Amino acid sequence: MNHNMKILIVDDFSTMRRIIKNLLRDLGFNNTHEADDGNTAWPMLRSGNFDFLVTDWNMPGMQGIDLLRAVRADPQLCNLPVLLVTAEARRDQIVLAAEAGVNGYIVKPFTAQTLKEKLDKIFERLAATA
Amino acid sequence: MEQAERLALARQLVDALERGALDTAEHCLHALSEQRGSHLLRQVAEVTRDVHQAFGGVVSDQRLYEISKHAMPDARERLSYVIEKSEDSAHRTLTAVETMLPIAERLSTAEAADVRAAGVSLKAGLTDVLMAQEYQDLTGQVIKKTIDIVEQVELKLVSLIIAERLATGHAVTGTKPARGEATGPAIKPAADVMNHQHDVDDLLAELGV
Repeated sequence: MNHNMKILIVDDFSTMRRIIKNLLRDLGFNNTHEADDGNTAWPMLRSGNFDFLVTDWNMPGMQGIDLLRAVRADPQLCNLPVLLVTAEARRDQIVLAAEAGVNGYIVKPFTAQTLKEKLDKIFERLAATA
Repeated sequence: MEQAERLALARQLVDALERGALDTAEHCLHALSEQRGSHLLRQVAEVTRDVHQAFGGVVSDQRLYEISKHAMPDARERLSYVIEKSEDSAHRTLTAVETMLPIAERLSTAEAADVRAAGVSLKAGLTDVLMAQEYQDLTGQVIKKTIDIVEQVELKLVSLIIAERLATGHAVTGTKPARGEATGPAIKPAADVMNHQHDVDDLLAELGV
C-alpha cells in the first residue's frame, strides 16, 4: 500500500473530516485533502490526481452517492477507489451504493480499527485485480 | 317523510314479488337502494362539514398562529445553537488531541520501557477521545433533520391558516422517502436498517463488494 497516495476526504461536518484525517495520519497517510460536499469535491477530483476517495453520503449540494456515480461515469476517474463513511444504514442504500460501484462502506459511528480493516481490504482487492 | 317513502316502496316491492311482476320489483329495489345511497352521501357530507368546522376552529385558534409565527422559528434557532456549540466544543477537543498526539507518539518510541508503555496507552486514549467527537456529526445530522421537520410543519401550518382565512380547503399530502434517499442516522432499530458494521459487511459480501 502506497502511503504517499493522495486522499480526498468529503464530509459536510468539519469535525468528521478532522477525525478521518487524524485516523488516516495515524495509519501513515499524510497526503490528505478535504472538501465539504460533492460539488466542491468534483473539480478537485477532476484536476487533482487523487488516488483514493473517502466520502460521506448525506451532504447539502451534491450527495456522496451522486459523487460516486459521477466518478464511475467519468473515463478518467472511473477506477478511483471509493469508500463511503456514512450514517445512512438502510439496506436499500447499501445495495444502491454497491450497484453504483462502491469499494467499501462504513457505517457511522465507526472505530479506528474498522477504518483500518476496510482500507486494508480495499487495497488487497485492488492489488489482486491489478 | 323519508321513512314513509321507504315503507311505501317496500310494500310495493312485496306486492310486486307476490304478483310475480318482476319489472316492478326491480324498479322498487332500485329506488330503495338509490335512496339508501343518497342517505349515505348525506351522512358523509355531514361528517365532512363537522370535520371542517372542527378543523377550522383549531386553525383559526390564535395560539396556533402564535406557535407557527414565533415558537417554531424559535425552536429552530435553539436547535441551530446546539449544533453550533457542540461543533465548537468538538473542534476544541480535536485541537487539544492533535497537539497531544505527537507527544504521545514520541513517548511511545522512547528508550525507557515504562515511558514507552505510557506513550502507547496515552496514544490509545487520545484516539478514543478523537473518535468520541464523532457524536457531533451524528447528533448534528439528527438536529438538522429535526430543524427541517419543524420548518416543514411550520410552513404547512402557515398555509393552513392562510387557507382557512380564505375559507378554502387545504389538503395536506404526505410523501414517502424515495429509494436511496438520505434520511440521516438511524435513531431506533428498524427491520431495514443495518445496526452493526458486520451486518453491512454481510450485505456487501452478498452483493460481491
